[in-house]
Amino acid sequence: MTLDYLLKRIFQFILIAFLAATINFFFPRMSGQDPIQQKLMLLQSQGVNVSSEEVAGLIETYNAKFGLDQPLWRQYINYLGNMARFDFGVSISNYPTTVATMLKRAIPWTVGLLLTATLISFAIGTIVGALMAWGKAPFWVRTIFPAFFTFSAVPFYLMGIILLYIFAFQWPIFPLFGGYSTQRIPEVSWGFAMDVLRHTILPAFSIVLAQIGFWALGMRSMMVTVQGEDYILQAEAKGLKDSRIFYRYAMRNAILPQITGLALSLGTTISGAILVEIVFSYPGVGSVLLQAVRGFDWFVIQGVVFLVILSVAFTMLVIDLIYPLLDPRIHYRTE
Amino acid sequence: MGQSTPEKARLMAHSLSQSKSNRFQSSNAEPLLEIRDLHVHYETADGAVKAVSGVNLALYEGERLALVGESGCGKTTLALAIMRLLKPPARIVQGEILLAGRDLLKLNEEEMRLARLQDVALVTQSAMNALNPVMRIEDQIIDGLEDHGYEETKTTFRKRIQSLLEHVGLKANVARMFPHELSGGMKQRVGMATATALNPKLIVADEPTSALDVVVQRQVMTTLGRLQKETGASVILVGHDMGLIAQFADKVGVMYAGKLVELSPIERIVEKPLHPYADLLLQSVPTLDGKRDRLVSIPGMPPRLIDLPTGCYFAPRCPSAMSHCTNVTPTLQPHDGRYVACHLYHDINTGEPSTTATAEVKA
Amino acid sequence: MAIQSTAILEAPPPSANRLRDTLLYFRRNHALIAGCALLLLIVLFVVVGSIVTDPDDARPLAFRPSQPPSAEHWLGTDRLGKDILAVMTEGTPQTIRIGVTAGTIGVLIGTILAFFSGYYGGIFDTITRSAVDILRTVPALLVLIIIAISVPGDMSVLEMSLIVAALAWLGPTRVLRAQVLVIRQQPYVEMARFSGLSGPEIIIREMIPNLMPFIVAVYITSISGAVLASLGLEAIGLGPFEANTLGMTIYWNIWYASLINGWWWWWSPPIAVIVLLFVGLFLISQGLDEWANPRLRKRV
Repeated sequence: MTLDYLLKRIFQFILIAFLAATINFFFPRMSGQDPIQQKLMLLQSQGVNVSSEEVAGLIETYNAKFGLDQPLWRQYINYLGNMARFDFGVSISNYPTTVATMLKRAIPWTVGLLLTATLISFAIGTIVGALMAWGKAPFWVRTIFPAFFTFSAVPFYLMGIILLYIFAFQWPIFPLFGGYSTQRIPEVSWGFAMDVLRHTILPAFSIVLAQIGFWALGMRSMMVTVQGEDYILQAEAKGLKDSRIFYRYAMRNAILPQITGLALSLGTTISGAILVEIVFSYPGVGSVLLQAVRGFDWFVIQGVVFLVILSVAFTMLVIDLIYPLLDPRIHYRTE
Repeated sequence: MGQSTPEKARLMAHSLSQSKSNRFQSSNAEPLLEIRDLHVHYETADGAVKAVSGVNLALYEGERLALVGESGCGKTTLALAIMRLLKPPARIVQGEILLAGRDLLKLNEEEMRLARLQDVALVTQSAMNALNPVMRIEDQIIDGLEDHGYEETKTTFRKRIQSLLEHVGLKANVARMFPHELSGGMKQRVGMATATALNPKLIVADEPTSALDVVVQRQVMTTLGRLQKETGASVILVGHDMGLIAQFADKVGVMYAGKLVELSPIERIVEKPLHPYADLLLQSVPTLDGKRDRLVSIPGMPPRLIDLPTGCYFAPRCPSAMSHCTNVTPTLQPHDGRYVACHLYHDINTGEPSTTATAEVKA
Repeated sequence: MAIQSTAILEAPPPSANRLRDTLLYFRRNHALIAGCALLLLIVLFVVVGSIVTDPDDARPLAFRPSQPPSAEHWLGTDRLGKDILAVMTEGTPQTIRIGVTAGTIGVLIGTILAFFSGYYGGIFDTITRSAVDILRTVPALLVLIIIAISVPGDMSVLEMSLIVAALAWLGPTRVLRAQVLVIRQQPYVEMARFSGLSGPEIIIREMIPNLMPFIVAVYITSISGAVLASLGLEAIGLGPFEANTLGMTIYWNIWYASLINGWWWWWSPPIAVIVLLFVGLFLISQGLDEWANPRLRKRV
């Protein structure tokens, strides 16, 4: 890997961060909306008594933060600086909690859910797909996975609703909502971990269900391609054991495009996961976003958007940078 | 007829060995490789494509046999059949492949797996893609050793690989490289080093020089020749470049439409091919000295292997075809110390050779 | 030699026969037929719905809320007092309209960008390619959220379509540009260039007709993507609140926790229609893929 490539990728990452911050800044201003004013109107329409010192505090923080009396370009530079420091301002609905605090609380849930679900569906899907191509998969697997592939066209959160109805409402095996039972206090303990696990199974399963067919069929077609390669024939001619050819020659090569696919699908997956969280009231970024949209909590929405775009870009950067370790042919030499 | 086949093969080899010079030390011993009446079909929706139909062949220890013919004549299929590496829809329908007296077609999968590399090794067609792109060269060779029961330390393996690589003219540092860091010629040398890793009795080289440039082609063939001499293995070389083949082989088998139509010592076929197809084939390739002044193309197309004509498969394209050529199928029979399947040299009524009278077999 | 080269240079066959061949081919394309059948099912559902319900039945407080299905209300009523069949009858075409509008805009922009950058190359191509490559890695839903919250006042169905269309051109541009690059090298395009046709003429007369299968396939995918995006936005609560689109129906279901309240008749119809719609579009795009890539075609 050359420095050139590294710099180019890092530049790309910064560019995405910059673009995300820029649309965050300009889009709402272009429509000429005042989040604080809107919030006040909403509260009044709901008949809520807004205490004057709360409003004063809000407005003061808001003005101090964004320097609304300054010219637009100053505000913009200021905003970019804030974003770079992950300073997203203060939640309007949960004043004086900062957006960063809210996100810090939500992120572990989302990352945990997404990571588990993605790893499970990627691992199982890839192995099953490989076995299907190798002619080692039982009949029921070969019939059921193409059906899963068709399901991958349906948004996962709708699958989630159906799963909830069957396994939480009709047969209450799993909890109906939340990330942990309401009577429990988050702590590091075995009991709490099991409780979280119980709450995570259904949302994770709805993501797995929607993705597993995609990975399986992708891997199957890659394995079929790889099986026609000369190095597989040569491996057989070397008298290698079938298991060795399967893992070290066929799967090892067929998995490379799958990993590229994993990186590319990240954006779609996280969008889906946000909606799954909403359906399951799972206490992650998705639920924070839903609450923010309901409460016109602009800064929270902007924070979520910026952070999610940034995390996806960062994960892709990491995958791109470790990819040469998996494929020695990639050197990122600039010609 | 069944009993007569081994007899026939022995006779064939015997008469050939008499015509051949010093390399045939074991003329009276059993042949190393005997192929008897081998048929390979590709099953398609429209019927069976007969890629190899009734090939008989004997190869003695230390012999170098080249198989030549136009593409699609079944030479690569034959090579892969010996390795038992044909994939569906290809299927070995009938025949025996005896390697040192053991019928490879009767081995179970595990026995055949162990036989590969140990008894018979393959140097594949395309040097470019024959190596796993994500593994170091040494690991790819070690894989082969390990799966044949060799359990040694990495250092011992490395020493062994180093000497294997040196034998094919590669530096020791190639072991730690990845395939994409090697040139085509280097990859083909790695292929040869791998093939000789367990000193097999037979090496099948399927167009080892395709996709290489001319200078490298010569080098690869020289290396293969040297390896053969050092290890004493027999080699079957599938190829199309008569220049390279003449440099390398002891005898040449000419294939046409899945049949062996001529089997002859190299000097004699170069001097005068017997079969009209062999004659045209040799005219159509550059002559030994590399001049292309006799370049002639063979008119017509090879027959569709799915519905083969009656009689001689070459008759429709043959400049010397006679009236009965399209009715009676010629068989491979001895003629003047060589073998040829052509009515020009045999009396069709008796099935007896029309010139030299030695064999009495029919296919 | 001579025979071979004319065979390659020959232009694609005339269109009359081609149309008939295409239709004949479609009859054997099972995925395509199954996909169309599913969409037809949705159309049938809407037609039946519009016969038995009145548009006014889909207004809030029209009936007693949260009633299970009965002879009077085939699909029951929701928490807001709307007849669910009437809501579905109104919302299904609205959602499809959002998809078709945004998909059309996306494909139009995408086709123009793809042909311009792919055919002419140069700096414009570099910009297009980089923009697509970078934006493709950004989770679209999040960008759309920012655009959606910036729309002042209540959103209309048309505004919803336009928001979704904002990123709908990315996919078509990427897919079609790759095809343009391939087809640009084809002998009949070169021939057209030699015979003095201008760039736009070549694009319109030679390239677009030959890329039609790809354009149609990408169109279906874009519609599907646009519907997906609109449902996602609406489920979060960033949709046309006055409308009864499928996504807004899902939103109200989440808002009133219909699942926990056991109002299965409320959440199941939109999910059923959405599943039918996506699976139908998916099968159609699979079928079209097979049409566009002759290598995938089964034996003729």
